[in-house]
Amino acid sequence: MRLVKVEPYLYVLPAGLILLVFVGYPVVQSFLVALYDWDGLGRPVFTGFANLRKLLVDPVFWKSLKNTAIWVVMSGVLLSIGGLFLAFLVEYGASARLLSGISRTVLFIPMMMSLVSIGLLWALIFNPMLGLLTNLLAAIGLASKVNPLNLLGNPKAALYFAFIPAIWQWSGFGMVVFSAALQGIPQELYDASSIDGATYARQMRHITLPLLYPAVVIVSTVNIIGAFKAFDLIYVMTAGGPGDATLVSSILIFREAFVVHHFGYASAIAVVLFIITIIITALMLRYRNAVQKT
Amino acid sequence: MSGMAGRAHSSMKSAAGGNRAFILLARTLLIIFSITSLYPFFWMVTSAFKDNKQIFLTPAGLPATINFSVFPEAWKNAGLGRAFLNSIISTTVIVAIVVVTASLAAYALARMRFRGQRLILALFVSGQIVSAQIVLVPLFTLFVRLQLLDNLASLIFSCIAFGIPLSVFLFWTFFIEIPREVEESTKIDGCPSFLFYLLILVPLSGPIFASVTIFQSLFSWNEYLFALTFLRQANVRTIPIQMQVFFAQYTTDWAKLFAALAMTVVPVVAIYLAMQRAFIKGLTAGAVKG
Repeated sequence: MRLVKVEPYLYVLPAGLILLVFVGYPVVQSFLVALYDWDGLGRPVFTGFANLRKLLVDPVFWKSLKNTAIWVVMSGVLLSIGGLFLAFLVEYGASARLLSGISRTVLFIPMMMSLVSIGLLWALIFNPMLGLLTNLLAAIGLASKVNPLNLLGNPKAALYFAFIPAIWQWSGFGMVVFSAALQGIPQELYDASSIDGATYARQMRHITLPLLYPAVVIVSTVNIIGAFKAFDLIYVMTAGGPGDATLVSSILIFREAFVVHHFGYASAIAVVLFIITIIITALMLRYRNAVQKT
Repeated sequence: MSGMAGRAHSSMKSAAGGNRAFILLARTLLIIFSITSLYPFFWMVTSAFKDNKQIFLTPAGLPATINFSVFPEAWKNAGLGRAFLNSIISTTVIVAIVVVTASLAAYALARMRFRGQRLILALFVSGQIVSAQIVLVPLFTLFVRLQLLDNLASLIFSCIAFGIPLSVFLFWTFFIEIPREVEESTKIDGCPSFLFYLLILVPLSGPIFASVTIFQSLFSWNEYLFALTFLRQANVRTIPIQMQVFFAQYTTDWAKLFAALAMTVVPVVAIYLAMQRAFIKGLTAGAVKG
C-alpha cells in the first residue's frame, strides 16, 4: 500500500509560503499594477498599455537605462580586473606569506561595510569642502585648493566617480575568488612546462589565464547581476543627480513610486527592467554553465 | 588557505625565475593597495577626534588631541541606541527564520522523494532573480493593507522572503552531497525524519549553517531599500536609515558624522577580523553559488 507522503510538503511549506506571499504574489501584482494609472491612494484606473507607451518615449527612462547599462558594464569589467590584479599580487607577487595573509585580510575589509556607510563615507571623501581628495589631487597637480573640484557634482563625470567606491569595496571579493582559483591550478603543470623551457609569459598565457577563465566568468556574472540592483550606493551619494546624471533604473522606480506617486508607471518600469534582467541573467548563467562544463 | 597559498608562491617563484625587481614592485603595489583599502577607515576614525579646522587643514594627519566626548554626543544625536536595537532585533529574527525554514525545505528537497520535487526546487532557486526594486510597489501596498507599515515586521518579512531562495539553494547543494548511508543506518531504527534532521543532518552541516548565517546577517544588517521604503518613523529605523537621516540633519557637524559612522562600522569590522575565514567563506559562497 502506498500512501501519498505529506511529510516532505510540510518541510517545504513554511519557506514556500513566505516566498509565495512576499515575492511571488508581488511579482504578479507588478505586472497588473503596470496596466493601471494609480497614485497609490485613490482608485486605480485601467489604462492598458498606456504606461508602456509613455515609457518608450520617456527620455528620462532611456537615460536611466543607459546609466544602468554603463554601471553594469563597469561592474562586469572593472571589478573583475581589479580582483584579478589583486589576486595576482597576493598569490604571486607577495612571496612572503605574512604580507599576502595580511593584505588578503585587509583588502576584504571594505566588504564588511554596508553600501550606505560606504556612500556616506565616500560622499565625505569626495566633498570638496573637506579636502581629503582635494589635497590629494592638489599634491599631484590635478586640482587647486582654492577652487576645489566637486567630482560628484559634475553631470558628465558623476556616474564614473560614483563607481570608484564600488571598486574600492568589491575588488576584494574578486580577489578572494581568483586567489582560490589560482591555488587550484596544479603545481605539476608549471613544473612540467618549466622543464620544457616555457617562459613566465608563456606559462601565464597557456596555463594560468585559460584555467582562470571559469573564475573570471563567475566573478563577472556575480558583479553584472548585482549591478542591475544597484541602488544604495548611488542613492546615498547623489540620489540620482545632479539632474539625472546618476539616475539608474532602480532610483527611477523609487522616485516615480514614492516621490511623485506614479505607482502604475513605476511598476511598468519595474516590469520592463525585470524582463531585461531575466534575459541577461539567463544568457549569463547559460554561458557560465557552458564554461564550467568544458 | 595559507598552506595552499604557500604552494602557489613556490610554483611561481620558479616561474618568475627569482626576478627581484618584479617581486619588489609587486610587494610595493600590494602595500599601496592595502593602504588604499584601509585609509578611508583611518580617516574616518581620526577625523572623529578633530575639530572642524583640523579636519580641513590636516586631513591626513593624526588628531592633535584625543577627546572622546564626541562619541557619546554623536551616539545620542544620531539616535543610535534605538537604531542598534531595531537592527539587532530584525537581523536576529530574519536570520533565525531564514536558517530554519530554508534548511527544512532544502532537507526535504535533497533527502526525500515526492511529486513536484524538481518543480518546487526550481521555483525556490528562480526566486533569486527577483530584485527588490521589482516588487517594491506591490510590497508597499501589501504592507499598507496588512497595516505593517512603520513596523519592523515589514522589513523582516521582506528580508526573509528575499533570503530564502539563495539559502535553500546553498543548503540543498550541501545536503545532496551527504552519503545516503547516513539515512539508511538510522531508518532501520525507525528514526523519525525530524529527529534525523535535528540530530544528524544539522550537526553534519555546520559549515553551511555558518555560511548562510554570516551572509544572511550581513545582508539583513545592511539592508537599505526595504527599510527606506517601509520604515519611515524614527522609532522603527534601522542603522542604515538612521545614519542617512543623521547625515542629512547634521550636514556640517563633521566630527559627529565621522564618530557616528565609526561607531556603526567598527563593530562589524571587528567581528570580521575575529572570524575572518568564516566571513570570507560565507560571503563568497553567498555571492558565487547564486
